[in-house]
Amino acid sequence: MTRFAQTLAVFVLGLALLRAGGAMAAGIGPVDLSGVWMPTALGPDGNRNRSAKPPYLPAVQTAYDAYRARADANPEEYDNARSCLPYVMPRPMLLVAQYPLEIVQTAGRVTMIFELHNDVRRIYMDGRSPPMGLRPSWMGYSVGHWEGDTLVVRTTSVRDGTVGEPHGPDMAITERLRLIKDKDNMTMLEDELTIEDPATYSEPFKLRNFFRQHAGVEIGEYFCSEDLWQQNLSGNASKIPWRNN
Amino acid sequence: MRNISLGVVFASLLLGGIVGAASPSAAPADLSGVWIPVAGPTDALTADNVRLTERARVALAAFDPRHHDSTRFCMPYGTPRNTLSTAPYPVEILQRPERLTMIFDRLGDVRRVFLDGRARPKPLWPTWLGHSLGHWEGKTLVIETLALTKESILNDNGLPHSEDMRVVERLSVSTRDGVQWLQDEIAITDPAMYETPIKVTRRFRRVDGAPMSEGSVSCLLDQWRQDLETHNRTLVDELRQSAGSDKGAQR
Repeated sequence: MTRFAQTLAVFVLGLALLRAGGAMAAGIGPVDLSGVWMPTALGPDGNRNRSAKPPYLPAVQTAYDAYRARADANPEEYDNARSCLPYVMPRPMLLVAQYPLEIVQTAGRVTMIFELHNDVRRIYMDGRSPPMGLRPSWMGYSVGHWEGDTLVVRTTSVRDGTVGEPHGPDMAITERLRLIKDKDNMTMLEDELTIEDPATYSEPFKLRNFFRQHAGVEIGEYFCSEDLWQQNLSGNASKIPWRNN
Repeated sequence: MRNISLGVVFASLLLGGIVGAASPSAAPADLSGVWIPVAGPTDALTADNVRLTERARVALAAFDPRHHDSTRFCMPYGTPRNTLSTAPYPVEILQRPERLTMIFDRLGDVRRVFLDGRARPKPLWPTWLGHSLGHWEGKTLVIETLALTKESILNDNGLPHSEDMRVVERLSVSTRDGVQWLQDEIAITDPAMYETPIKVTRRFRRVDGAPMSEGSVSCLLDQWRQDLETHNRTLVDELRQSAGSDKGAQR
C-alpha cells in the first residue's frame, strides 16, 4: 500500500467514524435512514425487481382465486382502498412507485410516515417486546434492532380478516433494511422481507423492495376523503361521504 | 505521515463528537413524547371572546357543521385547530435537530416544523397543515405557520379564518407536581377575520406509553362500517363469509 493509499484509507475510516459518530452520539443507531424515500420498481442493477409468487397453501390459493374472481367482477364492492381504508402490512412497504414514505429516526424509535393514506408506522427500538393482548392493527406492532448497519424489524399482530391478500393471525414479518449502492453508485434503501405465516404459506415468503432518496421533497397531504369533501363543498354532497354512489 | 493520518482520524472523531453534540440531547428543550391536551376552565374559544370582523360574522352565520366541518368527512382538523382542540386525543412529537414532527391522533394530522433555517417556497400554496418554520428562543420553540386553507376552521363552532392567517406558537416544557407539561401559546393574526389577534394557551400533559390509534383510519373505519350497516349492503355478509372461508382454508 502506498503512503497515499494509506492516508486515503485512514481518511475514509475517519469519515465513516464521523458519520457513525453523528448517528451514534444522537442515540439513534449506527445509520440514520431519516429522509423522504420513493419506492421504485427497479432494483440496484436497473432491472425490474420481480416479486416472487406467494407460496400459498393449496386451500388458501383456492380461496384467494375465488375472492379474486368476485373482486375483479365488483371492484367497487371489494377494493377496500375505494372506501379509503389503508393497506395492511406488508403492503405499504411493497409499493413500487408514486407515493413516498418519510423515515424519522429518533432515540428509541424509527417512524415511517407514508404519503399514501397518511399512514404512520411506529418501530420501537428500545428493546421492548410486543405487549400481550394487543389488538391487531393495520400496521401491526413493530420492534426493531440493529445488526451492524442493517435495521432488522419484526412485525406481528397485523389485522386479520381484511379484504385482499389473505394472511393468518400469526403472520410475522421480518424486514432487513439497509443502505446499498446502485450500479451508478447512488444510495438506495433496500427492504428484504420474510413473511412467515404457516396458515397461509407452505414456506416463508421472501420479497425485496427498493427505495430511492427523494431529497428536497416533502411528503404531500394525502387525504383519501378529499374528493368527497370537495363534492360536498361544491353543493353536490354524496349521501355516503366516502363513497361516490 | 503516520502522524498526519492519526491527525485526520482524530479530527474526524472530534468532528463526529461535535455533530453528535448538535443532536436532540443538546437541543435547548426536548419536546418529544406523547402528550394529551388538558382543558382548563377558560379554554373555550367562542365568538364572544374574539373580535369578529363583518366578513367573519357573515361566514360564521352561514356555518353548517354538516357541510363545513372537515372532520365530519374524516378530513384533518388542519392547523391550528389541531393544537387548539382540547378533545382528549394525544399528539406525538418526534424531535430532531432539523425538524419537529407532530402526529395528531384520530384524524391523522401530521405537522412538519422545519428547524433547518430553510426559506419558504414560492409560491406557497395553502394546505391543511400549512407551512411551518421554527427556531429556538432560549428554551422555547417558536413556530410560525402560514398558507392554511380557508376550508379549515378554528374550532367546532366554526370560527373562520382567511388564507392570510398567520399563526405563531411558542412551545415550552415544564415540570410541575412531578408531571411534565407542554405549553403552547398560540397567537392567531388574521385582520380579515379578527379585529385583534386571538391569543390562546393550550396545555398538554406527558402521557408517554399511551397507545396511539391509527389516525384517520379509525375515523374512516367507523364511517365505513356505518355506511355498510345503514345501507344494509350484502357486502358485510360477503366480507364475513370471505374472511371466514379464508380462515377456514387456512386452518
